[in-house]
Amino acid sequence: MDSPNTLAIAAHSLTKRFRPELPPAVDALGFEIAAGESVAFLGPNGAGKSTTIKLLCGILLPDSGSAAILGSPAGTRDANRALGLVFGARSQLYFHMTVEECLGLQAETYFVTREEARLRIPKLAEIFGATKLLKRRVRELSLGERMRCELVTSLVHRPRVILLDEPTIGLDVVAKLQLRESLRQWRREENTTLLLTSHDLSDVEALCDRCILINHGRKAFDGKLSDARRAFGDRRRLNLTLSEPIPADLFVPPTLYRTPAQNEFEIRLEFDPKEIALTEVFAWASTTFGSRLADVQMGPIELEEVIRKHYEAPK
Amino acid sequence: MTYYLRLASFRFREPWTDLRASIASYALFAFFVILLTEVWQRFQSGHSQFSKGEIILYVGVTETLFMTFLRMKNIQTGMEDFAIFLAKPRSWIGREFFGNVGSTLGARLAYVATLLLLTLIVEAFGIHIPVALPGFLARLGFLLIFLSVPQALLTALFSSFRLSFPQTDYFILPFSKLFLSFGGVFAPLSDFGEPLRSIFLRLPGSDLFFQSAYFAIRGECYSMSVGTWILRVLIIDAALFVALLIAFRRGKRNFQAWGG
Repeated sequence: MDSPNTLAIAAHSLTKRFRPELPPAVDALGFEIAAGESVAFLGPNGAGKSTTIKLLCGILLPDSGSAAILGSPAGTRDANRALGLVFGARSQLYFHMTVEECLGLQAETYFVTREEARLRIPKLAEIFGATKLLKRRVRELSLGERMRCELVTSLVHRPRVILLDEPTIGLDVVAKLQLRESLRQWRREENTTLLLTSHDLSDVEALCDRCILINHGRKAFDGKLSDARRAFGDRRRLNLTLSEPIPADLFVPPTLYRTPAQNEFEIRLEFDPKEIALTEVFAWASTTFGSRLADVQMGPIELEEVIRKHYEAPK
Repeated sequence: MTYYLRLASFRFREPWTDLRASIASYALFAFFVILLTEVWQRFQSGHSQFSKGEIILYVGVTETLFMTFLRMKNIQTGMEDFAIFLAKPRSWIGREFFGNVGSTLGARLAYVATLLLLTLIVEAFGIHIPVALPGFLARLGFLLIFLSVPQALLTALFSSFRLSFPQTDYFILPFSKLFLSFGGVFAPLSDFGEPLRSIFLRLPGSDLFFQSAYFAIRGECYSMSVGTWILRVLIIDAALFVALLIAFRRGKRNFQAWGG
């Protein structure tokens, strides 16, 4: 039994350099994740996400620093037994076997008894909508069905920490939504610690409360998702579409920030309601464009944009 | 051990789960057995130590053993699984060994079934197979299991090599294609003239590529006792196992340092 203070994941000054002439892929990275937390691990391509995940599960050894899973050094048998792994781009199933047979083998991989597996598999299959898939061969499954089975596979041994690396990659919108909903239901039931990397930020918003942003192997932000947004002043996004092209010499008040638009009929703005009142923004738009204004859309800045801004912000 | 045996049974069943997809390769196997038998008989001008029926079995056993030897798919799978097994509480070497034994046995049994069917067909066409089938099958069964060990070790060894050296495919060729050729597709070494016969027989590989089919057909080994041959193969197994441990440690160190 772990002490209540045992961290699910602890990384201290993790550093990994692949070539002496190149900057480190992970550079003195440190973070701690408490048991039961659900954390997104985000960064652009080449930021060091995958390298960090590999360091956490012992696939790579750090040049310096250390990582531990529930108090056991990363890569040791105890640490590995506590981990569940899902790699969206790497199947852990045998394509010529049935899903049920694969789950049985996975259970044995992690020393789960047959009796435990017999009770656990139907429960997980139900949560992930895979009950009808158990008797089917893996090669007959669609990508969405297979991904649900991959998740069941990674959870058979009741891992206390699960690392999800791009679990929804390649899935269509419906399959993504189903998978997220299943994950949410499973989280409610088992409260397992989750570390998620995904380029689809809607996965992150649906599943995680906290995010760690890394860039160039270093931590750029670590906190609640809502704080990540708040760091940019609770800005709002306003998209205006005109019935004719936007004039090149358009004057925009300095409290409205223009961002790249999709076409010449559109203008995209961001503003902080503390700097300029909403009524003033609409008054400006109405006065400037009048009847040429064809459509107005407003909302919070999307998480993608928030993250992009984090990476662009001067350090 | 239950886990590894179950894994072996998984891989064993692989070629049997979709026989329809592989039917062409089994038909081709039978075709080559007949073709190479004819070619062999022409080369030897009727002076071979083996009758036509025996040659059919000889070529069939050699192809069964060495068409399934060091398959690129298994080497590639071993390499791909390496990383994920560093994050699992099971041994990669154990997994590779038992997985390859299972996979090789499964594939070989499918070819053996084809060979048996072929012997029935050629007997119907009047070609006598002068070998007692139960004894032949017993020896073949022993061979399939006994020779799956060096095969599995060598496959895992090449998977480990790939972790350290990106281009190792050229080294696989001598083991797979040359074993197939010298094992009996060109002719058995007993039909070779001197000095080539003596030179080839002294090669450690001849215990695998030559003696196997000879033993299956004749129930004895060429120029040595069966006990000596088994001992020599066990020494090969031990040498391969040591080489695998060294290559695995080197591959793991390399992989964990550089990301493969």
